[in-house]
Amino acid sequence: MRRDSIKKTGGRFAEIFSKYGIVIVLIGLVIVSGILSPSFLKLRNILNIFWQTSYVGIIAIGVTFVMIAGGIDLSVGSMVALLGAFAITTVNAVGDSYLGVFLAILATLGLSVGLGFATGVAITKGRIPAFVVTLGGMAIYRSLVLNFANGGVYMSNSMKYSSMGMSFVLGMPLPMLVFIGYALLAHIILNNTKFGRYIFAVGANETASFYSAINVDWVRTWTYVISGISVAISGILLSSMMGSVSSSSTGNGFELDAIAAAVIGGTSLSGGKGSIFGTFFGALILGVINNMLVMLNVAVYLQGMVKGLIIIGAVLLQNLSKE
Amino acid sequence: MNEEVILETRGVSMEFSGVRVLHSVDVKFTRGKIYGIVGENGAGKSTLMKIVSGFLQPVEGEIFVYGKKTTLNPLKAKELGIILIPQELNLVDTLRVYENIFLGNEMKSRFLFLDKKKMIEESKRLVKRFGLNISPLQFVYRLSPAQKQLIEIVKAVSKSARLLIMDEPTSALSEREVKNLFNLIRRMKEEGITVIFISHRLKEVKEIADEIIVLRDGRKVYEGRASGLTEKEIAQLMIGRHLSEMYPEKSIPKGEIVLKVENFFSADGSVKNVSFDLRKGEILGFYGLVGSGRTELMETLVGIRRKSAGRVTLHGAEVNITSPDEAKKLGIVYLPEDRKTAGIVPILEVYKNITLMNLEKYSRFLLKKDLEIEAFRRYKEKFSIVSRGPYQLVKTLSGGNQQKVVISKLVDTGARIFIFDEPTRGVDVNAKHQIYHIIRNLIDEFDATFIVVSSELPEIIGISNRVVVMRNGEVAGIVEGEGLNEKNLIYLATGVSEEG
Repeated sequence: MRRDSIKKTGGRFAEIFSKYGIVIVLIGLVIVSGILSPSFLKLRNILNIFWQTSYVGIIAIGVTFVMIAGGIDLSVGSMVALLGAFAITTVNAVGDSYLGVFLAILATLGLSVGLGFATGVAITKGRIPAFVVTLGGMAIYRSLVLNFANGGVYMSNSMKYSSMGMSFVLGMPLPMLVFIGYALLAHIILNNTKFGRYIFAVGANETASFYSAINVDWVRTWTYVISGISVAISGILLSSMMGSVSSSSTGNGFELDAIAAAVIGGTSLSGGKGSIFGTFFGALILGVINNMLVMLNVAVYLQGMVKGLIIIGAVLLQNLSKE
Repeated sequence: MNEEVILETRGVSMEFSGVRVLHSVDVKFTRGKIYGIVGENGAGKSTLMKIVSGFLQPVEGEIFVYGKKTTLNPLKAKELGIILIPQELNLVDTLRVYENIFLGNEMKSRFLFLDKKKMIEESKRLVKRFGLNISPLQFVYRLSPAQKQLIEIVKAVSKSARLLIMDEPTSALSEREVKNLFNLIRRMKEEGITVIFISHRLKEVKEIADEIIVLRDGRKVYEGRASGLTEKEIAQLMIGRHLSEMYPEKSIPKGEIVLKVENFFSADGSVKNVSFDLRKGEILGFYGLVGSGRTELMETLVGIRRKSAGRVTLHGAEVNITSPDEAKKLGIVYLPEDRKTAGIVPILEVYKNITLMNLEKYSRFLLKKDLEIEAFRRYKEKFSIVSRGPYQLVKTLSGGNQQKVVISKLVDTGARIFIFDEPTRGVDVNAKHQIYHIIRNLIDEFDATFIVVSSELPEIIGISNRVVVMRNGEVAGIVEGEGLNEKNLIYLATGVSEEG
């Protein structure tokens, strides 16, 4: 009897930890950071971390959809530069007006849907592995961005566009609010709609989903469209905040960060498992670690190594917890 | 007679997370005998076999090999000649036959190079010894499931097996191939190899085994000569209560034709010129050997595979079905042959599996989870699904209960024509019995009509009103009434009579 009840509470604990463990890890990191560097806990710094995390965080949400459906998207880093550059070029062409900004945003979203759709069709109808298609996309988008700027920078001439990315609402940076709002919306789509259920089913067992009359190709294609839209939102916010896009460096390494955030948050690389909740906090954990590395004066060049180790460690933990 | 004991367990018990699955089991396996182990799913057969072959360590009890107390691990068991052939085959499809036979056991010449010539020679010898006609250079993916099963056995024997354990070796085999397998087992017996044979097919166990061991709820309830029991007695021992008639009374079909198939061809050539019709309220059986095109025909009918020619008429109107979704909308649903890969989504919860095919009903922009949970409770009661609750993952259910979940999913679509492909494969006697009654009750309740594909003769004869027999992708004949017997079915399926 006793042993049973102990086992039960043990099981309960494990369940709670597997669900909210990531929040506990984040709180632990924040406490450690606060002790190591008291200025870390200042509201200004916390908001800053949230702000900086938003760009990758929004992309990571899209990548989570792709990964749960059993795919992968490596093109997001180059795509954010391409879409950011496209938005700036469009605003510059249309002129510095609210209408111009609005049209540019609309056009950028439209382009992202097109690119995501094309990626999805190549993967599902062309039967090309997602890894190959999005690796190709990564090279293609970057090369296009570099080509049109001759390796230089896309500068925004529009004050209205540039001020958007720096604006605050209710004392909070706009990108942070968009990140939170987008995460909530994504959570609802993934957990409370038919489409979300299909994403899990397709990622967990594509054959059974097909036999269950689910349009598997359609579901998988749409996850790439969502990934594209996420990249567009991130690209617009990023390029308007910076007022420019660097054809060579904007978005570099975003694919690693986005996949890392999803994996840290418990999304499975083999599909069928994952949550927006996890990805949201996974992105914040990455943000806090980045901030800590800067505050502790760790060489910028070593930050990639730390991230690499974290992503490998996160998968190792997933494997261990399975046993 | 002095019988040499190969392996003996004394008081072996096993626990998984505090739940006892084996209770002090004593068994003894002697040289050159064939043992049949039977029991329902969850009776402890596989657990006991994993202990005997070193894959699991018992929590209590001892194991003696050749009279010596031994602690086994998989490697040691292999060295002692104890070989387990698991239910899921372990061949590498993209390698050749001989490479598979010697996988992990390769012969080497000097300088660490593989001695391919010698391995090919040896494979040829082994394959021939078992009377098989397979080239060692053939790629495994080109073999039929039955041939793969036989190669798996050749592989085991190549490792000088003394005790060979086969877990459900016949579940993918046709009657004919089972006969070949049995010949092989008997040959091994003559060579002094002890064989443990696990199967759900009691008839086969009775036919091949010298001794029968019956397990129930982790306890050994019977051990003795196979000839001492009838099939029915074995079944009763397995479920521990009187087994009322296995098959429900046959329905009386109404005359109306609901589905008519004429000159039907599949695009991949596996189905040729098939015609039949389906009468309302009947169970139309489909029998044939593995590879005879039964599954391919059904998959083409519901739009999983492409058809190239033919006419399908549903309730008098011609239809052209090109996807499972269209079939579903027309009220035709398919229960796939392979439950694990095509039936269930293992890592999703039970309730999500049940509502997967009919989510429209549970969604008004957002999903209505309370309705889904209600559906779970309804089907749990209707089909007596044994589950801890809606949130249990389907993969943790027993085979029979998984199948009931798949059936629930199909019934929930509101379909009236059901195509069940091997609905009782890998489920225990009790679940089989329940599935037959579920089929019968659906006919009574909804005026439903069934096509049932099966490789098991007693089953197909026991439940069908009529049986279509297929051979090489074509219809070899349709039998009913007096003609519906084993002899006719085997004759039509193979094209040769038993005497010839």
